[in-house]
This record gives sequence, C-alpha cells and structure tokens, in this order.
Amino acid sequence: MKDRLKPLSFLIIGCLILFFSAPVSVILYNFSLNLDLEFSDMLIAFQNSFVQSVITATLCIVLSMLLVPGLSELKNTWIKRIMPAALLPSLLPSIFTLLIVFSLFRDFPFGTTGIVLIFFVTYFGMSTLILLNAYTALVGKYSHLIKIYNISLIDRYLKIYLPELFKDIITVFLIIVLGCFASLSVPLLAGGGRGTNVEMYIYESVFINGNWGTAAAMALLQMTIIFILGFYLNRISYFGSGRVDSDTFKTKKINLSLVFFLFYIGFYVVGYFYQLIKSLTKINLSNFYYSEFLVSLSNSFLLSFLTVSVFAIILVSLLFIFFMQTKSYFLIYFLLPSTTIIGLSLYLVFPERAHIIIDALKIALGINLIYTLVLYKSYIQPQLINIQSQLDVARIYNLTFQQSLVSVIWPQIKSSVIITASILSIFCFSEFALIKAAGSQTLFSGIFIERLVSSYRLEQGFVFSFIVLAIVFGFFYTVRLLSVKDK
Amino acid sequence: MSKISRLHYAIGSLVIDIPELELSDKGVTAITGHSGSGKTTFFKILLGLHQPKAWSWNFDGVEMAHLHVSERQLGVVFQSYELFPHLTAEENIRLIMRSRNNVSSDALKQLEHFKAKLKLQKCWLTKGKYLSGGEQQRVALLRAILSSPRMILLDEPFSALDQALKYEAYEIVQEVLTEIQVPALMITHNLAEARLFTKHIIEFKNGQIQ
Amino acid sequence: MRQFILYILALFSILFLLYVYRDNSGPINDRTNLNIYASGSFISSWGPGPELKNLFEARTGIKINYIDMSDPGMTLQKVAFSTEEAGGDMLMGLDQFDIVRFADRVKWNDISAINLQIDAIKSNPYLSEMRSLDIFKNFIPYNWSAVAFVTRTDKNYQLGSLHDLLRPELRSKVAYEDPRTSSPGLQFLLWVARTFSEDQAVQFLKDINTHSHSFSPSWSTAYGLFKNKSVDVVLSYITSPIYHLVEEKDANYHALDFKEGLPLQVEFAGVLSNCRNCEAANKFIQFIQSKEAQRIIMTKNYMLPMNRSLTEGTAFDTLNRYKFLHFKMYTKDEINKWIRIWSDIRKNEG
Repeated sequence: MKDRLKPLSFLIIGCLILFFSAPVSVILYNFSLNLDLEFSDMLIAFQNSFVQSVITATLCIVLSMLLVPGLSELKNTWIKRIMPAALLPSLLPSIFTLLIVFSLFRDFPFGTTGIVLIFFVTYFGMSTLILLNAYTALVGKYSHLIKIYNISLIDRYLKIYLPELFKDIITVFLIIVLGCFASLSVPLLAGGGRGTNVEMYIYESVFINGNWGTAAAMALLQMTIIFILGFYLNRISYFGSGRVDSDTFKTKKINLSLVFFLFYIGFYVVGYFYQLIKSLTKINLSNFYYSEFLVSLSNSFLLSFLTVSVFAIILVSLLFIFFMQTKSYFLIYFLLPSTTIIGLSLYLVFPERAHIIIDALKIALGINLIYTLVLYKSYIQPQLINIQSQLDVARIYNLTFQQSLVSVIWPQIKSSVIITASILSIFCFSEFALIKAAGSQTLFSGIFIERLVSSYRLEQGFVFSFIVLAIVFGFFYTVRLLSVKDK
Repeated sequence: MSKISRLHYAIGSLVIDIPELELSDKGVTAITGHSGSGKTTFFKILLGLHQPKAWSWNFDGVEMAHLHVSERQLGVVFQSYELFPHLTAEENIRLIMRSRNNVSSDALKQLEHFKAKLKLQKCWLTKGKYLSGGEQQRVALLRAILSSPRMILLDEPFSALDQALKYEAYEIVQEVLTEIQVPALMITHNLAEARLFTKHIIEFKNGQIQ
Repeated sequence: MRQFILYILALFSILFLLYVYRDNSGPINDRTNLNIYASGSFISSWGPGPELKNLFEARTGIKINYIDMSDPGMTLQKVAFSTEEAGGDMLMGLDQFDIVRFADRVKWNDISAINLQIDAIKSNPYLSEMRSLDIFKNFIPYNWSAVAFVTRTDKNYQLGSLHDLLRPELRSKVAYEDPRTSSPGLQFLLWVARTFSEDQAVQFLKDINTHSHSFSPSWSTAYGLFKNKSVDVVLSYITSPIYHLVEEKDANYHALDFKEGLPLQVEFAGVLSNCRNCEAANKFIQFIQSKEAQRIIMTKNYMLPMNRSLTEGTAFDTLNRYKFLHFKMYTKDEINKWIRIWSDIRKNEG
C-alpha cells in the first residue's frame, strides 16, 4: 500500500518543522540555554499575562459567537467591504489604538480592566471575522433547520455551534492569548501597577541584562505550552462536514448583530479619523518628507511581493500535505511568541549589510514565521475541510496534486488565499518591531512611520499611516475585484 | 469473480468482519442493509478511503488491497454525487477523462453517445452547483463511466431523487450499466430497488454478511 | 504549476546570486567609506544625520553609511557578534546609562587624544564631574539635554519640585515612562533616588506609581498621550518646547524648572575597536565637535551643544536659565538596584 509521493509529504513536513522552529534553534545554538530564572518573578509575570490574556480571549470569543450567527445572514455586499475595517486595530501600530481608546475616557480604568479593554479593542474584530468565516463554511447549512424547528438558543450554541466550531474557537483563543503574551506596550501603559508580564520579563532579560539564554528559555517555554495545549485540544474529534452554499442563507439586510459590529468598527474608525483630521490640521504639507515616504513605500511593495511569494511556497506545501492526508495538524500550533527572538535569529543568519532584496527576503521570512500558520488556520483551512470529499473524488479518479490544485482546490479557496495574502501584505507595510530586531537597513514604511512617531512627529505618522493603508487596501481591493469573477 | 478475504476493520462501534466474499465481475451486485450496518464503510474500504490491515481483494489477478486509492481504477457515484461545484457538467467529466488518460477518439465518441443517452445536453454547460439532483446524478454517473473503470461503485445513487424521477433514473442507469459491460456494485437500503437491478444481493448486518 | 515552480526557482536563483555577490566584502582598510551606527531619528531626513553627512563628505571625500540602530543595548549585542567585514566603524547616541550597562559588551578605541570638548566641559559647571571620569578614553560627548516635565502653558500648573507631582489636582494627569524600557524613565528613577533618602525615595515611587496616569514603554508613547491631551504633563526633555516653538510655531509648551535641579542626559560617540576605517571614524569624531556640526546637531536633534555659547541668539538660549543637577555617572550596581526596586513596586501595587 505504498504511495510514492507519501515520503515527499513527510519531507515537506520536516522542512516546515525546521523552518518554523529555526528562530529558537538559532538562538539556542548561539546562546546557551539559561534556566537561571527567578521563579517568583516568572510566576508573577506568567500569572499577569495569563489572567490578562485569558479574560481578553474569552470575552472576544463569547461576544463574537453572539454576533456571528446574525452576521452570517446578511446579504448586503457592502457589508463584506466594510468588514475588513474590523481588522484595523490588529493591523495598525498599537500606539494608535492606545491613543484612540485613551481619548474616549476621562478616567481610564487602569489595571487589568484597562489592559483587557485595549486588548479587546485590538482583537475583537479579528476574532469575529475568523469565526464568521468558519461559521459560514461549516455551520451555515443548519440555519434553515434552526429556524424551521425553532431550536432554542441554548441548544443552538451547545449542540450545534460550539461542537462544529470548537477547533476554530480554540485557534482564535490561542491566537489572542499569544498576542496578549507578546505585548509589551499595552500592559505597561494600561496596567497601572501590574506592569509585569512575560514579554516584559523577556525584555528585561534581553535589553537590560543581555541575557539571551534566559530570553530563549522563556520563548521556548511559551512555545511549548502553546504547542502542547493546541496539540491536545486538536485531538478532539472534528464534528463538522459538508459543503455550504453560503449565499443561500443570506436573507437579511440589517440585524442587531450588524448594529453592534458596526458600532465596534465605527468606534475605532471614527476615533482613527478623528485623530487623522486633528493631525492634518497640525502638519505642514510643504515639509512632508515625500521622497523618504515614496522610498519606504516602494521598498514595502518589494517586501510585500517577496512575503507573498514565500507564503505561496508554504501554502502549496501545506496544501500538498493536506491533499496527501498526511497527519500534520500539529504544524498549526507552531505559534511563535516573540518578535524579538525571531528578529535576532534572522540577524544572526543573514548579513547585516546586504542588497535590498536580501534584506527584504529576511523580513519576508520573518513575517511568514509569525503570521502564516495563524492565517492559514483561520482563513484557508476551514475552506479545505469543506471540500475534503471533493478531494476524495479527485484522489479516486487519479487526479495528480497539480491537477487537483489547479482545477479543484484553487478555484474554491481563491478568495481566502487573496484575503490572507492581503493581510500579510498589510503587515509588510506596518511592521517595524521585527524589522528593527532583525537589523534591517532598508527603509520600509513601518520603520518610516515609527521614526516619525519617535521624534515629535506623531501627526505626520498618523497621516502617513492613513495614506499607506489607503494605497494598500485600494491595491488589494482591485486585485480581489479582478480575480473573483463570479459568486 | 473478484474475491475479498480476511477483511476486518473497526471504526467507532462498528466492526466490519468479512472472512470471504465473492463479487460478480459481470452486471450489478447490490449491497443492502439497514442504516449503520456497515455498507458505506465497506464501500469506502473498496474505494481505498479506509485502509484495513492484511486483507485481500483479488480482482482479475490484480491485488487491489495493495493499491493506493488512485491506482484502483474505479468509478464512483457518491450519495451526494460530489461534483466539483464551480465546474460545468462538461468540465467535471473532461477533467476526469484527462486524469485517467481516456481521451482517445473512441472515448470522445463514447462521451457524445452517453451524453445524449443520459439527456445531459441542456445542462452540459451549467456549473455543478446549479444542477438539479437528477442532473447531478447523471453527470456523476457519466463521469464514472468515462473514467475507464474496472468497476463502478454507486452509493445510494437514487436516494436524493423524488419518486417520479427515480423510475426514470432506474431505467436509464440500467440501460447504461448494461451497455458498458463494467461490473457495478450498488449500495442501497431499498431491497426492492436492489431487485430491480440484480439477483446478486448481499445483505449486511452489523458489519457482517448475512 | 510548472510556471509556478519555474518562477520560484528563478526568484531564488536571483536571490542566491545576489547573496553570493553581496556588496559586503570591501577591503579591510576601506579609506573611502565610514559606517556609523545611529538611531533612526538621527539618520532620518529631519534629523541631523543627512546634513552632517553632506558636510563631512564635502570636506573629506569620505562617504558615510549610516546603520540604523534600534536600541543601543541590542546593537552592541549584535556588534559583539559581527565579524570584521560586517560591522560598523563607530557608534553615536550612547547616553551615560548605555555606557555603564552595555558598552563593555564590545571593545572601543582610545580616542582621548581627539577630545576637543575639554574646554567646553570645563566651562560648564554642571559637567564638572565629567572631567574626572575615565569615560573620555573611549567616548566623546557631543550633545546634552536635561530631563524635565513638560506641560501646556495654558494649563498654568505651578510645579516647582518633585513633591508637587503628588498634588491632588495632578492625579492621573502626568505621563511617565517606565524606567526599565526608557531612558527618560530611568533618569526619573535615579533623579528620585538622588534627591531623597532611600526609604523616602521608595515611598515616593510607590506614591507616584498610584498617582500617575501611566508608565509608557517609550518616550514616543508618553509624548503621544500628552499631544493627544490625554494627560496634561509628560516626562520629556527641556528642549521639547523648543521643537514646538520652532517647527510648529506653537509657544504653548514649557518645561518645568524644579528646585532639585534637572538631571542631565549626555550623548556620546565612540569608535569600535574592530573598525575598518578607524582613521575616518576619528575624523568624524573631531568633526562632530566642530562649531558647524554642533549647530546642526542642536537645531536638528533638539539637544544642547557641548559649547553653550553656540546657543546664544537661538531659541535654545532660554534654556540656560534652568537649574540642573551635576552630571553623575552611576554604577551598574546602582542602576540595577533601583530598577529592581521599581520592578518590585510595579509587581505588587495596583
């Protein structure tokens, strides 16, 4: 019963494992693992991070799950166009979110409440969109039955939604927990007294004590916990199956879910535009650093191109593994916790002064290390699960992987792939922490904006970030429009 | 005859246990039984979607149990037909013909012949997701026929059709299966339906043959 | 699929060739290029970097390549890993804390012979302690400022000392930076430690911790809150109002003068011992001490020149009225001790 391509799929899995574990491996190779940890400090750090992240994740998921069934019934196409705005808080630099939220409160509730509030604003949109995507792919087909049989709210959630979406919920939970663990600025700023968390502990180890061995040990510990948790939770059986023609169930123009979600989007967008307009009134357009801006923009387009190329290679590899039905679900839980670790590992591997293309490739690899698996799990994998039976047919009829990819898989996941590629590209334009840690010398737009913000020029930073967003959204909206021919 | 031996496979609480079974290499063999009797599991084992250990299926001297799913050269009509929804009826069929390397002029003639016989001209350029149940069933059948199979497996091929369509479908499918002279294995829970097609009926109960 | 594979192969072949023939392997003594580590805001078009570069290149014919330095500690860690062919020649932007905490990660050249600031330092009473330090063996100061609380003039806060920060009307109105992640934050911490006895300082910090609006991870975040009017007072530099006056024509900002004196922040430059073009680095060290370079640094970096006479007739002249603390070089143990105290306060309160 040998399949000659099976060894290739194992080889690919091996390569992916090597790739995603490379940052920590590089650090451990260069620095001895140092477990000289102050356990009481570490415990407090973990406790703070854990409480903040779990509360945020739970709140995001509970509220998202309340909204998602209603959102899935909306038929207006303009809703689809507005939805990506919900990703803004998770895509823009955290300083913007901080300023927007702070400007709303006379007495900001510092402490755990304040931290959870800011994290919630950052991640709620993302969690809703991911769960909406999963819901539409996996559960939408039951919405008629639910109405016909008047299934109660409790039964809907406990007997249908939660079992069908359990794995996606767990994924979103882990993404948010990891994001919160990796945040330095929010707990420090909004935490009031409790200004110690795991990322702060890593920061102290690295920047203050120069103790990379400890930082690596902490990152490894975080990765292992997430990996084990995800691996264990993933072993729970998957319940959902079946194809959904999602348009059939879209019957409403407006409902309560939409109102609440628009309120969330509106709060952030209005806050963002308010800051933007305030900034526009304060800047001098004649002294606007246009040439540097254009250079950074063009460099970021190059970075975006390379990032999407690397993503394409990883995606094809993951699709091949999926097609070959090789057990590889553990891959999805290689969620890397620390931008600093990834950045430094890239610095150690690549030359510091290099051609711009090598520099951009370095960052493209870093962006893929951080985001690709998460985005694959969130946007692409639900679609693949949906067409699994079609892939069975393809295998039965001896379609090669190439034929299946071109004729069966790609037409049905095209939309999700474009969304994923777009999100990755947006990160290319806003990322700066990774670029700095990796020692890249090329001026990308994220670095340019960060430099402005770091030197009294916050208003220019706001305006440039808006211009960048408008260009990028416009570009990818156009690409999506051209590539999606029919619905 | 094709012979199955030492088939033992457990899935959930169901255990398929078939020490020996002979399937006809001509005409239709029907597998009947109540829901949960193991028919569909057996069906998937023959297709290669489940992989029991140490069993044997000898088909015309070929040891099928050792072959990968794509090497078994089978045709299939699933209960839910599983057409590729974004492809037209024609594209669904031509894709499989290409993958099975069945593109000779004889194959193309056969395509036109059965397309007319199965009355698919009107929906030939319609995408899979827009085809009616009956049309999907006939497209799935034509796809199976033109995949140059050594055997066609049909899993409840008529269960999704309404009564009026069913009788029409029985007639067409019988005609076509007789014409192509490829052995077929049909799963159905409807004994009367099975009797319409064949005398070779195998009954499943609790994973075993009665 | 075939096209996709070919595209990927072509892309990576090009990248491989670029990697192999990367522009990274000049001769050991490259007399025409000088590589300088400096911060992003220094080398941006609005910073002093480009003008200094143009002037220096015009005078000497030596080409300057700036290397963006994300953080002095991290940069020095990276420099420690660099081979000779990869690293920079010199580094700018180290403050006195960076020197104490991180500078020993790498080796530095002796540049004491090209310190032209001796007279300027001698004439500045606040820098008197600096003269007796052996810091000048490896580092040259090229600009300085003082940490101060900045507010909007229309708010009319009359604050004259550290104790005034605990006034009831300032509750949740003052933005600080966290000493663990920010240089001005660390300055504040040590300012408190220097002003009060140890017990008083610890109590003061605990009170500030609960009285403050926030402790930002960086100056930019804290200042952003201030500009956004989320707070009325921010821990920044005495030169911050000068920026608003000159660049934004906005005179509504001023730095508060505290009776304790304001702590000094001095920035230094040094030449790495594995420099490829040490001669050019030394020339640049001399150059940044010249009057022209000092003026550029003052007006673009918004920091004070070592020679105070250069501020005469400029907006920076108004800063000479402030009272400063004498420059002090803390030891690593002192810094670590107070950071430890601060960490404990942050862990347990709130």
